[in-house]
Amino acid sequence: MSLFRWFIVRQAGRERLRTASTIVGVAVGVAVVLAIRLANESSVRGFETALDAVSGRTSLEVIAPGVGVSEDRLADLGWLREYGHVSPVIDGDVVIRPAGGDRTTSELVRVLGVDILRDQPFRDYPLAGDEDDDGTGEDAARSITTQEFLSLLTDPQAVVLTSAFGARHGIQLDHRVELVAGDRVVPLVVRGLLGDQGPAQVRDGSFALMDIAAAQVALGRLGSVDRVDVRLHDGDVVDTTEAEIAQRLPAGLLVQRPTRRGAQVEKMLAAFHFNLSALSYIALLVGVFLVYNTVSVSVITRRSEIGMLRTVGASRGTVLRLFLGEAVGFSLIGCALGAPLAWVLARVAVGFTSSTVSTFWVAAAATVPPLDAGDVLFAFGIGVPLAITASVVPALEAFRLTPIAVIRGERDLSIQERLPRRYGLGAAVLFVVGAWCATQPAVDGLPVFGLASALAVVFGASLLVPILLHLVQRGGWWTRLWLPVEGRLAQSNIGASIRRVSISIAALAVSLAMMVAIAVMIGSFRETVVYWVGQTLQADLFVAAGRSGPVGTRAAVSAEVERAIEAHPGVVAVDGFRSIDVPYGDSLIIVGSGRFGVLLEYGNLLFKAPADGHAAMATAIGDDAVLVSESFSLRYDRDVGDVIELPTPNGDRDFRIAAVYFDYSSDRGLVVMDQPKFDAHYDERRPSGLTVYLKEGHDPEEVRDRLLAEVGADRPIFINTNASLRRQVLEVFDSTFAITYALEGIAIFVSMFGVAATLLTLALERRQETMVLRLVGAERHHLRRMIMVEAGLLGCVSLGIGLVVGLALSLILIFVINVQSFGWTIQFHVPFAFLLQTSLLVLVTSAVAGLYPARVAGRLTMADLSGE
Amino acid sequence: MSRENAIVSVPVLEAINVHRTYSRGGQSVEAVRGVTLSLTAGEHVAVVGPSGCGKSTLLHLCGAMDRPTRGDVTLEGQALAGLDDDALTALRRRRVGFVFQFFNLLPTLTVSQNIGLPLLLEGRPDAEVDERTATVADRVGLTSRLDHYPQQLSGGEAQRAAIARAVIHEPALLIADEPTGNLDSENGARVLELLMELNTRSDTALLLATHDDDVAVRAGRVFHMRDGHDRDEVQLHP
Repeated sequence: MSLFRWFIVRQAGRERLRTASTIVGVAVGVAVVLAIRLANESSVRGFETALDAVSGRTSLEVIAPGVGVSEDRLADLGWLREYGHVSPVIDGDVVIRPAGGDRTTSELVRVLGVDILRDQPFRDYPLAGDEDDDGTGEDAARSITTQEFLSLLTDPQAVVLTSAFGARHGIQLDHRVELVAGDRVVPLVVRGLLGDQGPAQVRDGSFALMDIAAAQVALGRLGSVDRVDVRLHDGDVVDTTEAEIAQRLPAGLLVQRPTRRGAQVEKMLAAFHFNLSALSYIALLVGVFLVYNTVSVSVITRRSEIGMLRTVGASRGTVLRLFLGEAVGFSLIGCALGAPLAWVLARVAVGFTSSTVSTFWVAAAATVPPLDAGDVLFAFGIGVPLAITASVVPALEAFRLTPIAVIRGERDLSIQERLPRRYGLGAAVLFVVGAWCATQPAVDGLPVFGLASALAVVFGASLLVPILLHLVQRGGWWTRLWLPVEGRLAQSNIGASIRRVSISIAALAVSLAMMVAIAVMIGSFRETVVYWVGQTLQADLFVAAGRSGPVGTRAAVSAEVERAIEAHPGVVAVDGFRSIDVPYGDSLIIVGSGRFGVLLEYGNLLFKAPADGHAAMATAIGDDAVLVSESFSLRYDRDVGDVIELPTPNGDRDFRIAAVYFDYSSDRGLVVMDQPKFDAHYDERRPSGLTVYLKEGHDPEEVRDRLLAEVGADRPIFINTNASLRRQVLEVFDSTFAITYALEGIAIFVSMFGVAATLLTLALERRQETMVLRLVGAERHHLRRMIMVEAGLLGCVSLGIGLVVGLALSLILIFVINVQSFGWTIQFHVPFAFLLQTSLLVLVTSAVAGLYPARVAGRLTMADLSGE
Repeated sequence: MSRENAIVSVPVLEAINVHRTYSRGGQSVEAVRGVTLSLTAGEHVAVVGPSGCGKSTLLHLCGAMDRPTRGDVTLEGQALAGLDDDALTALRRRRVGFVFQFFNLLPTLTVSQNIGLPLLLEGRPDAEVDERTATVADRVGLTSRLDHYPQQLSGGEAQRAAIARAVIHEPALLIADEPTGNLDSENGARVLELLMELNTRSDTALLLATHDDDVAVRAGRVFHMRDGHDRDEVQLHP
């Protein structure tokens, strides 16, 4: 241990920058991976927490897929009471705001409508104390009797909110509020405030409790309930009872555990989370590269000391343990710092991802839970073994050193003398493996082979680094034209340090390659979406109820509003889109409806198959035929002509796939049928959005303003023009991918740091050579420029590999990983402007990374160098 | 050059009452104490003395590598005291050549590049650098080794390459610090012959530090040092 302290710890203390860069590299790498894990868990956990809170003690729930359970059928379900308590429930999302308050507020509130007499065995609703009884300054919750609750909810306008929501919006008992469901505004009075327990914990208190009848009226769901909750008798086995109930239920009704919804959400988010996690491991890879680099430089620069240790009797094993111990030390500190950093990063990541998750998959308030022992163990569990693995090769190099070789000053000049063919061979093998992996199918819907392919390309590219550095040392004549002396010296330095700088350069090149690949993928995706939006968004106006935005709440637009819009003299046609979630396989798909006649005449869906998609769409009118999105087709391996079975309230029904169309609004899979067919199978429902086509010569802005003045004065509707909706679509797109860039930015920052640390180490290690240069007349500016040119050349190599490999990776991302994860066809597009900017930035930054080492070299005086 | 000419010409090097003090671990160590030394063109002076007597420090001061704590050093009539670091560097690049015991060749450059480095740093055209390198390499017998790296040379070859680098720019003063200390006797003798030949043929003043009496006796004057002092000076070959 003393030897470790003297030999490793002291040296690490002396080389503070290199030590710090390695620890920061490990810390950031571990932190990013753990942060993404925490963020991913948070979004699912947010949903599951809400699910648990709202489900309470519910064992099973009876649902009608996609639609509510009709009250007519409830009467036939009396036998459910044989199994335990039964409670019908209305469950939905609405906006609640203070009466006369800010009309633009859009915080979604989960509203639960229950029959309080039946609901008591399922959920507890402790009210927040009206007074500060215990002097703690906090509201104390107190239980409330059924009788009290009944009195609270007897008024059909009564609503019970939470104290947290009330505090946020300045709402108190007996205040008047407005519930906005679609374009309906329902006045309510706050009759109670719940404490922070039970269902009130949902989404930080964005929860409202109503009487079931009042909720049906408010949400426009008269005649049906969303589900029937069942709490089994104590001692009943859920599995057997579930099977028994399933047998007895009439066609069109399903029984499931509440947790199934959590599993479905997890499944829906799996690809998104999987890809995010994979991306986060790139940052960790950079950290691992840095550990390799540091231990490697440590071994190379301390050959004479290792020789001395061996001479005085240290065994090979001792030397091996010393350098492995160095890596373990770095990783332990890195992980210890990385774990808390992860929590901070996770909060940022949740900020990035929760809006994406809420927009595209499920509304859930994601909060990052405090770090637990499992998270900390995870950090150490990935950081320490990887650091040890990374240090094995350089530690073995130290292990193999003999005292005599060191004393004789033998240096390995093999790389300087010949092209390292084994690296080229290794790279070629990895590229072949990568190409093979890219042709393999997804594993359980996840692009496992696609990522293996990307990894093979990344490692293959890393092996190309020494070869390229070798070529730079041989070629690079152009640097001599520009700076004859410094260019030549820099080239020679690179040639002599290939083994030392290769890993740093590989780390930077890999980060850049990922950045390029992601930029190309996102750029391509964006271009594709822009084209798709341009082609398919043909309507002049888009009407949404309740909330603005490209993805609405599925709240209904009322018939009055639709009639008013249709009556406008400028309007030539109106289409309505409605959608419901329907279980399909072990996930949820979206089943929607549109008016195919209107779409055929005015709209412009882009069809993937058959060639004449419009004709195929026409055949679907009046038939049990559907259009499916590309993601549905790929995810479930269904194509034109296939028949799919969808659950409906009247039992499972077969539908023929008439055509497959391109859609980038959801990766869950969309099945669209003509409105009359949808109404027949899923009951008549109001559309959640309208697309409005105008007659020629009518200005969309003017029509929009008039409609808002006529209809929107007392109804919360939002009307977007074509241009503004396109803009919003791209805004959502850009915010969705912001985290991707953030993760890559971190990886590049860390690797730049590594390059700077390596250059500094080399500059210090070359003190003797610097002295000779100074002796023969090299001025400080010569030394500074030499290191800057060296840094610039290394930046060029990194960038060259980054660009080429990045483009190769982008092909894997676009044509393999993306298709397998989300089922979208993306047109390949290279964002040249972005790549040019990035390239310039990298070149400038890499030269800047040489600034400090250059300054250090320039500061060395002859007295320092002469050793006096 | 005749002795009379040497006496009347301006000294190449003049060090008057030179002191050099270092601070080590909070204590000051006076490596050179009041040394006075002068060299004229074509002169060969050997500095001898035991290890740690200040020989190398004196050579660093004379070669514009370091500044004295007290006293004056003048190179070809130019006082070094008023020169900044860049000016000292330029002076070394143009007028001083160095040869060391451990050769101090740059391992990353070929022999040819090592030899031509002072001219490259001076900004001379590649063609001139190549031509002069070839000439000097021929003089030291390294023509066949120009494309090799220093690690591929024998000790004697490496030292000859170092000498070639030290004289390629035709310096007024050639400083050699134990140039034969790391060589066997045969190679040592060859290197010494080469240095003396350059000294006499090109009128370069040669200031050489050595432990070896056989080397010292070949000089025109021997300058003895002990504990940083100039103990005595012996004229051997007037």
